[in-house]
Amino acid sequence: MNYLINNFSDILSLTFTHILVTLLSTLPAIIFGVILGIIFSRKKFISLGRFFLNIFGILQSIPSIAFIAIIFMYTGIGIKTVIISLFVYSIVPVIYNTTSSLLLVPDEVIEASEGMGLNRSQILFKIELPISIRGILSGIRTSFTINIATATVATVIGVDTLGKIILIGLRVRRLDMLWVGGIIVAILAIFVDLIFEKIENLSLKWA
Amino acid sequence: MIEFINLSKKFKEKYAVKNLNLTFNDGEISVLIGPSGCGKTTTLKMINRLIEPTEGNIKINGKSIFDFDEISLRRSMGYVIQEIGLFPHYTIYKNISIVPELLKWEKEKIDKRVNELMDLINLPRTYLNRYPKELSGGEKQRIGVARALASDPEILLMDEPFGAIDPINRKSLQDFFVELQKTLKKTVIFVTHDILEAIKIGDRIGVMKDGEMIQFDKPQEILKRPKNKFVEELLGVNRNILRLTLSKVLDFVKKDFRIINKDEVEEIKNFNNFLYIIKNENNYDGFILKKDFEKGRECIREIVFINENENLLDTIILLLSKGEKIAVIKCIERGIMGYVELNDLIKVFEKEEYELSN
Amino acid sequence: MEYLLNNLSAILKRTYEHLYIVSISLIISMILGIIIGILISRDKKIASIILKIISILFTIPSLSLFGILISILSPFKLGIGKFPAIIALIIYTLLPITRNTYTAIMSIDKGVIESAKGMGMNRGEIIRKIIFPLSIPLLMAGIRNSFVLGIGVGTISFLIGAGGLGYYIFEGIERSNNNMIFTGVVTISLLSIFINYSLYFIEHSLTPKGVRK
Repeated sequence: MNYLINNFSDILSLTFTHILVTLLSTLPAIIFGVILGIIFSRKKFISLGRFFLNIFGILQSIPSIAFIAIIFMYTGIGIKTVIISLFVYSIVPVIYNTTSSLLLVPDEVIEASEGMGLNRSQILFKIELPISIRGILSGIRTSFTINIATATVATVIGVDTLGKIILIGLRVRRLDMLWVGGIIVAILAIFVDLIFEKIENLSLKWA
Repeated sequence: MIEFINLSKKFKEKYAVKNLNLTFNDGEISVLIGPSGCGKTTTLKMINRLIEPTEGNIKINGKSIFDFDEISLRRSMGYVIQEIGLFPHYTIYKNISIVPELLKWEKEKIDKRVNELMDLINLPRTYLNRYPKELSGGEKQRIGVARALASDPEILLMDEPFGAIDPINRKSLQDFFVELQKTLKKTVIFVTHDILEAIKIGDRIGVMKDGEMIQFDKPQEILKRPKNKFVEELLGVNRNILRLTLSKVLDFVKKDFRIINKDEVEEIKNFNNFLYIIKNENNYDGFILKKDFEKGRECIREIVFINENENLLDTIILLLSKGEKIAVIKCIERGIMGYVELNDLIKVFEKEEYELSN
Repeated sequence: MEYLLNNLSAILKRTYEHLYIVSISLIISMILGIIIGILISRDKKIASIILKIISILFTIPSLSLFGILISILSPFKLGIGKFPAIIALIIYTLLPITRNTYTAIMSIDKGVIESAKGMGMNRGEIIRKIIFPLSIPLLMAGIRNSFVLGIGVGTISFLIGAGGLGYYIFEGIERSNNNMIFTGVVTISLLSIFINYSLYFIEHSLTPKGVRK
C-alpha cells in the first residue's frame, strides 16, 4: 500500500502509457479488421476469405509474445514495435470473427432483402451487420483483452507499461510491487472486459 | 394386468396424482388423456418407477413394482417418449439392440430379433447401419417403437410418442401402430393430449384432471355418455364428428361394381352395374359410372383408394379434399372389395348428430 | 538456422521443460475442470456463478497473475520457479475445460437420458454409454484450447524462473540476439500448431460417427 501511495504519479503515468499503447494498437486493428472482415465475406472474395480464415485459425494458436519477438527482430526496441505487434496480433480475431459471423447470415435473408429492393450497402448496414453484431463485438472484445495482456509483457522491449512494475518487482524481489502491479493490471483487464460485456448485451437489444 | 391401488404422488404437499384405483387389461391400449399438468405423464412414469409413488401401490400380474429392483423392472417394459431419445452416437442396429444387450442376449439372437423388428416396422434392413440423424422424423419414431419392443416386453409405456410429428405422418404412424397392435397384443399405456388420437387408437380411455381420473371407459361410452362437463368439453363441440372415427368404412361398402379391362369399356352398355373399375394390366386406370357412360370417355375418373380399415371421418375428409364422391376400398390381400359413396357417409353423420341431440 | 542446429540438444531440453509444466498443469486442470463441470451441471444458478468466477480469473493477464501469485506464495517459500507457473497455468486452462464439460453435458438431449433411464440403464451405464461418448467432442475441444493457451502462458512463465522455451525469446530480446529470437519464435509457433492439429485429429477420431458434422 505504501508503494502505491509513494509512487502514485509514476503508476499513473505507467497506466496512461499502458492504455495509450492499447488504444493506439487496438483501435486501428478494429477499424481495419472490420473492414477487411467485411471485404473477405463479400461474394467476390469469398474463396480468398475462406483461405484467410484458415490461415488466421492457425495464427491464433501462436502465442502473442512470439509476434512481438518477430516484429522486434525488424524494428528493435521502442513503442513503435509494441504498437505494430499488438496491431498485427489483435487484428486477427477481429477479421476472423467479422468474416465468420457475416458468412453465417443465411443466404435466404440476403436474397429476401434483395427482393425487397434494398441496395448492397443497405443490405450490409441494415441487415448483415445488425445480425452479426454480436460475433463481431466478441472479436473486438477478445482483441482488447489480448492487447491489455500483451501490453504488460511488452515492457520487455523497453516500453513503460504497467508490466514494468511487475518486471522490476521480479528482479528486485519486491513483493509489494508485484502485488500492486498485479492487482492494477488485473483490475484494468476485468474492467475493460465488463464494459464489453455490457456493450454486447446492449447490442442484443439493438439487433 | 396392471393394477393401481390407491396410487398417489405428491410433489411438495401438492397432489400430482390422487388416489387412482384402476385396472389395465392385458392386450389392450389404454390411453391417458387430459390437459397439461393433469398428472397423466406422472402416472405413466410411476409404472416403471421413473417417478416413485408417494402412496399406494402398482401391481403387475399381481406382483408389486416395489418387489422388483427398478433397473430390472424398467428392462422388462418398453418405453417410448415424445423426443424419441434415439442415441445419436449409435447406429440404428445398436439403438434397437440396447435392451437385449443389457439383458445379455447372445449375438445371434439379437441379430435375428433386430431383423424381425425391422420387418415388423416395415423399414428396410439397410437402415441398420445408418445413424439416427440420417432418418426422417416418422422413421425415427418407428425405430423408437422397435427399440421398445426389442426384448418382447409384455408392457409398453408410451409418453406422447407421436406428439412432435407433423399431422400427415402422425396419422400414418397411428395407423401403423394400430395395425402393429393387432398382431402384438401388448398391454399398452399411452399418454396423449390429442383426443382424436385417443379415440383412434384406444381400447380404453382414461380422462384425467388435476391428478384425478374423471372417467375410464371405452371410447364409444365416453363419446356417448361423457361423465361430466369437463369430459364433454375435452371432446369438444365436434363430439359427433369424433364418433365417426369409431365406425369402419367397411360397414358401408357397396358391391354393385364390376372390374373390366381397358378394351372392354365400349361394352359397358351390355352390363348392368352401378360402377365400373377399369383395369390396365396391373394398374387401375380409373372408374366410370354407368349413368355417365353415354357422355363418353372424358367421364372416366381417377380412383380414390382407401384401405379396408379406414374410419368414416378420415374417408370423408379424404373425399372432400379430392373433390370426389366415391372411394374404392382396396385391401392388400383381397384386392378391391367395393366402394363407398360420400352421400351415405354424410347421412350417417347426420343420424349420429340426431341421436346425440336426443 | 545455424544457431538452431548447433543448439539442438539445449532446445530439446527446453522444449521438454516447457511441455512438462504445461502438461502437469493440464492434467490437474482436466481433473478439476471435469469434476467441476459435472458438479455444476446439476444446478444452473451455481453453474453461472462458478463459470463467471473462472472466466474473470481468465481475463487477468498472465504477467499480472504471476505477480499476484508470487506475492501470495512467497511467504511460504514457493514464490519463484515452476510452482507459481503451474498454479497460474491451472487457473488459465481451467476455463475452457470446465466450460466445455458443462456445455457438453447440458447439450445432451434430455430425451436421450430419459430414454436410457426408462430402458433400465443404471447410473454407471448412462454415464459410460451415453453421457461420456456424447461429451467427448466438446470436451476434447476444451482440452485442445487449454493446451494451446498453456503453451503461450508457459512461454511467459520464463520470466518467473520456470524455464521453458520463453528463454530464447526473452533472453534474445535482452541481448538483441536475432538468432535466439528466431529460434524461440519458430519452436514455440511450431509446437503450438503441432499440438493444435494433433489434438484436433484425436478429437475428430474420438467423435462418434453419428454426431459428426
